[in-house]
Amino acid sequence: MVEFMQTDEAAEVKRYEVPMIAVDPLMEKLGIIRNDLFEVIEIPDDADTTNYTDQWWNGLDGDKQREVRELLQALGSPLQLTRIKSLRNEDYLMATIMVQDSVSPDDPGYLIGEKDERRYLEAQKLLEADVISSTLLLHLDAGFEAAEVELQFTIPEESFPVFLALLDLYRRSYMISVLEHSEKPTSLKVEDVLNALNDGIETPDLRWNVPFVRPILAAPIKADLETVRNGLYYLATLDLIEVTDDYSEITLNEPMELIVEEFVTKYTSVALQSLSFLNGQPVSSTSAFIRTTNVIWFMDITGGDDDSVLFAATTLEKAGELLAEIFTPTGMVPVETSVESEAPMCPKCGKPATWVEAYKRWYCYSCQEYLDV
Amino acid sequence: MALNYNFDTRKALLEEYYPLLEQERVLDYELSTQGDNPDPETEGKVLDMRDRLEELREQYRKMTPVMPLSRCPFSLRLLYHSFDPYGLDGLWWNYEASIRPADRAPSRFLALTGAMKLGELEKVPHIVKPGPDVPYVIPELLEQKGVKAVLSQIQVGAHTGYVITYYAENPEEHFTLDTWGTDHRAYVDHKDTFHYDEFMDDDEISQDFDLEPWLSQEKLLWITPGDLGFNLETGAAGCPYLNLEGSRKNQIVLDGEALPEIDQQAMYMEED
Repeated sequence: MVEFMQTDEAAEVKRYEVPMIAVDPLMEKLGIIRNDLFEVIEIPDDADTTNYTDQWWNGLDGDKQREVRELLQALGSPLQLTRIKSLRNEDYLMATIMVQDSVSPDDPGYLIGEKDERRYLEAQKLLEADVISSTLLLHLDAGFEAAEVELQFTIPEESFPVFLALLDLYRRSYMISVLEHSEKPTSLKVEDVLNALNDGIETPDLRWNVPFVRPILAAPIKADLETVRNGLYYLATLDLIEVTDDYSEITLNEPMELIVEEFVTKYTSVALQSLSFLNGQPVSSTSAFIRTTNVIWFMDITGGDDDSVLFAATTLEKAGELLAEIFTPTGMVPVETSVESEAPMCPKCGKPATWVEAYKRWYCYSCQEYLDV
Repeated sequence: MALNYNFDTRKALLEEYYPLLEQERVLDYELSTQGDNPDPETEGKVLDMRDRLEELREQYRKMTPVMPLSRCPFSLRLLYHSFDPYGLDGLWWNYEASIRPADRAPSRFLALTGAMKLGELEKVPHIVKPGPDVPYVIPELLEQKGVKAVLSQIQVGAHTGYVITYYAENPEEHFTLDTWGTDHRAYVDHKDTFHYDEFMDDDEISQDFDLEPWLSQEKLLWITPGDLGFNLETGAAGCPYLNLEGSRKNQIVLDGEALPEIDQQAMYMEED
């Protein structure tokens, strides 16, 4: 689970704080259905051995109880969870999980996080789920128009971090050249690309591309000379760069010059990792958007059959469509019913009974009595 | 909403409520016979009883469970709705003065109706209208474009309830129905606006018990009884709600007896 969240733009948000220890007991006592996606949210299922949950709940007024119950209903049966990380102006980080229990963008959604060393579940209710894509789009807009650039290529997943490291290395070299009043870099050393890759792995500074994207990559980054060389070779086959015969130095070709120079100034970096279900099977999608001076870049890191990453320049309009697609759940999420479906129903309340192994009997927790089965 | 609501707490509440209600009615009648000089002691007792009855109603309202009953076929969202699953003696089932918390309607929700195969009946002084024995649809509503219904099952004490829920792509474009077991429809919509309607003109709607064509057209979907995931199923194949035996007339339950609604009305007319 993420550390914190901040959203000040999302209009009409309601905020809630629920003690972590009370979440699971409340769901149990309120009869809230929990599906397989709920299991992904790391809610402690330690039993509340005190009557703290009851006390906390009884301290809420009727409206608040209803609102918290609705939050727990959504949390229990999400159709999609999306981890969102958005860094603006290299200073302001929003890290949260979007919970959607409806495929309709005009239904409410919740942004959840945690507070006070996981003592509280913190949630913000968005009256309409598409507020989140509008907010992210606003971040990508950055207040001035993005240029339309025709540039798109795919790159093997293993080589993608090398590409990001190259962007980071150029940026660092450019910044040094500014400080030292020297010319901007025209060539880069292969060894320094490897160093930039290692640096990105070791330093969790989200202002750089490698550490920002690393957590959403499916496989761990390989940081060795062979991987770097393979990655650079691939970029060379795309005519983005040229590598010397002894693989010691690289020079940038025209499209790569545009990319690296754009990535010197980043206004917004957004990483999205969503999990939903399609035909009963979990499906995930991973992507990133980065707004540089003139361009909005899109990276589809989901990886298809060929495990490649799509890197493309996009427009604000297209980014809006992509975000809307990302925030649309794909289908129903299963509920583990194998045990419950065998359970007899309580003749008094109609709810499924629970097997108590110690007594070898079915027990109804609602009516608090054993069934005569 | 109370967290530890169960069969016993509800039973205790109703065991206090109904005798007190009866006493209050007797004393109230007594007062009405006393003309302009009512006995102050009796008057005080009646007021105290009314206060207590109101307290009990409020307690019941707060403890009524909000349960998953259905799933919207448009948004795939679960429908949680207040419901008393313990029996028709609950005040939720009082047709003329139902005690329910303010229900929340999801964005595509249109109406909640139902049917019920009755088991051993509870003896209660209020009228209950649980619907006919077997599930049905309202063609006048379901045939409209962008409207779908979902059929599910729930146990209500000794009775088997059939929940028939209507959803629409644009709910505001359609007429709606009184909520199951009541003479009105009261909801807070997803934009926090309260709605209250009474759909009184029964002549304008009919009940269609032949579900197969609706299932084949996928206008009617269904949920397998006991499916805690509330998965939406389509088509007539394997649908457990087809060809159920039972009366197709709406029933009125009162004081431990059930009569077809039409016959009961005829009976009242005969008495008059």
